[in-house]
Amino acid sequence: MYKVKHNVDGSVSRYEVRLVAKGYDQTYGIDYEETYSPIAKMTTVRAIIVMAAPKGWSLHQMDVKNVFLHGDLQEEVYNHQVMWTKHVLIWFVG
Amino acid sequence: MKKALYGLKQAPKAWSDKIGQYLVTSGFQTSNVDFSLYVKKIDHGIVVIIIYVDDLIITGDSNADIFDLKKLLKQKFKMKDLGELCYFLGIEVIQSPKGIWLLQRQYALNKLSEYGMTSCKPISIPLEQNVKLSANEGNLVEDTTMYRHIVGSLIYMTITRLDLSYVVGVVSQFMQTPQPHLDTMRHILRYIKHTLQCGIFYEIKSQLQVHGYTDADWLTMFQIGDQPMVSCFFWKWCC
Repeated sequence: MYKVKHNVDGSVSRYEVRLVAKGYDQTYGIDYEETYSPIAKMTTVRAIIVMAAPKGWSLHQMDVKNVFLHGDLQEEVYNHQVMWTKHVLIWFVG
Repeated sequence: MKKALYGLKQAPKAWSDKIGQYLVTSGFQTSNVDFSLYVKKIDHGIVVIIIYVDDLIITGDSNADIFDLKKLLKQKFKMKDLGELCYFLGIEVIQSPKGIWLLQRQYALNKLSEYGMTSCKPISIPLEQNVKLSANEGNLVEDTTMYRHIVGSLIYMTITRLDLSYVVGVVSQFMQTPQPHLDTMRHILRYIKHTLQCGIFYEIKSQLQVHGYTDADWLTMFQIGDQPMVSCFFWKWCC
């Protein structure tokens, strides 16, 4: 996956290249067992803000870069595309 | 492959496990209510983390502990510190010494331009008085996707716009019918334009109480097919 990020004035700010696995080829029970995404319920978020307000807590925000590259895999993933794509990307980025 | 990759079905879970494990070893406990909520007890209170995939909200009693935690997280996972919470999932959070404001102004503006309502005439009421919509009236439209799309956006807007809850309830009754009430919808969008600045305000130094109200008005019924529907229930957070 290849993306060009632009600045506000339209000039190119950076090139973003991302290696993406073929998730659609994976079969449940063979390639992966469980799926889950850490998504907080909006009511939780609001409840915490409600709690924070009267106590005068300050709320802070953090953002994780390349979030899905952090995880360690439990299952074995075979992806013959990876090597091939890597070479192409190296050639592409230069 | 040992590391997760974008596109893999298990990538979000792998990330969730990783951060979860790290937080648990750092003394946090997962909440039973929401698995994305982590709480740690400290000497004089608690520290709370909410995880929304790659976005984290951190709050708590002690600022020093929050900063320590942020420092640790920055080292462990390449995190970007966005400072004080100001924009989260389309919700603007304004923190002031008086309290916390929650607004969805930008979200509403984006939606208005998406539906071509940017230059519409604002109106001060969300719905005409005594309007009773039914499935058999209204403009016949083949493509109801747009209608459902707007209803979806309106539902999201009710996070901070509790005043919209009633009208959203009204218009969402006609998702299946080929005669959606686009005029009513336009009316609501005009009302949203009039009330862009509205949101929720949580005042500092207030008491946390939950107030429940019910409304048992059996006179105004909305017809859905042959089934009359009456149900009104309000929960109000009073702070």
